[in-house]
Amino acid sequence: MDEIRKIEEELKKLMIEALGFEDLVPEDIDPEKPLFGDTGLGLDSVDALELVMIMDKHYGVLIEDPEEGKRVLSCVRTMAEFVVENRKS
Amino acid sequence: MALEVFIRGGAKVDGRGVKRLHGAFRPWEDPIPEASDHRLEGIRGKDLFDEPPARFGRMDLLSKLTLGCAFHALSDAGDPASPPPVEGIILGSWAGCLMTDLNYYLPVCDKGISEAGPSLFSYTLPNVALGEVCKELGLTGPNTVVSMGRASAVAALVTAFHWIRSGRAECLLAGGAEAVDGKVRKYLRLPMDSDVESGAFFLVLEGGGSTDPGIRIASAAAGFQSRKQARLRQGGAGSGIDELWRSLESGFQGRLEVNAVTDEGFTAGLTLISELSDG
Repeated sequence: MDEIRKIEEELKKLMIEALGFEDLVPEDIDPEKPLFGDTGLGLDSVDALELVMIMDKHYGVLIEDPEEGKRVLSCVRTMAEFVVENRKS
Repeated sequence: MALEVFIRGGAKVDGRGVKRLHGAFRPWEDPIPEASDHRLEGIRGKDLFDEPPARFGRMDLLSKLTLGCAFHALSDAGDPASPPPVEGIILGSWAGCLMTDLNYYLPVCDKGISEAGPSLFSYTLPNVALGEVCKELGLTGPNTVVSMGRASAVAALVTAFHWIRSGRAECLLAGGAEAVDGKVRKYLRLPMDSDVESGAFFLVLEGGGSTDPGIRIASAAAGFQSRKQARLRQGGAGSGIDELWRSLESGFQGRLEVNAVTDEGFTAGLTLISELSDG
């Protein structure tokens, strides 16, 4: 669990920088809240590509199936869990 | 069909701050971080807007400057409660999105596709900046990008003049924006002391009746001459924008000729007439 929390914090910082959120800090992002759509951070399809790149570049984890991508990128928690489950040790 | 084309307002954004044509100079409140070799590269949404667009930070510099300046020009042109009915926008730009292209492609060429930035890639066309303006300011009419070297901004005004005169639009934003850093200067072979800098300049042009008061554009033309002809007729290369802005700010009266000419021979010129209101 600690590993997932650690990766969540890393992901939040990477997202804020890569997605260009000027006034957001990691504490503003609830790891369980949706990233896409009106109720969450309001990310779009270009942001989804950025998130895929982040996971590949920083954790060596590839999302190859679009349906799997929808599930993995739904919130920071699911992203972190996917990293823990799939990255090579 | 509009008989005359009037200048209703305008704004300019440069390394010092924002200036609206009919408003006070607003210097940058917080120092803009020196992100690289040009201080405007670190410009933030709150530097330009009271309520920044949600994804301003994701935009490339050309889009940030174009959107910010277009917003201030529009605000300058009328009461916020009843803004002028701007339909579209014409952007003149020499460098266009070259800075964005270089920022995207150089790391990819150097280190491979893992360096590709999807957000950055989406700004590797100059008219994406106009898409951001149309989205944020609610413009649904025609838009285009004009590139004629240093004459680009005046050429954009020339294009807007003809679109309004021909009835294609009644009210347009037109002007120029440049995003320039050391890489762009090198690529365009500009001397390091060149006065071409990052910034933006937009006017709101609107069609009106021949008896209306105000500053109107009486004629406008753009074209190409041989380098020798261009230099002989115009007296050297220049964008014409500084002269135009100074004259508009000072409230000139009478007739004003503004000419832009490039070393390559592109030319663009406007004739403006300013007449005092009877009121």
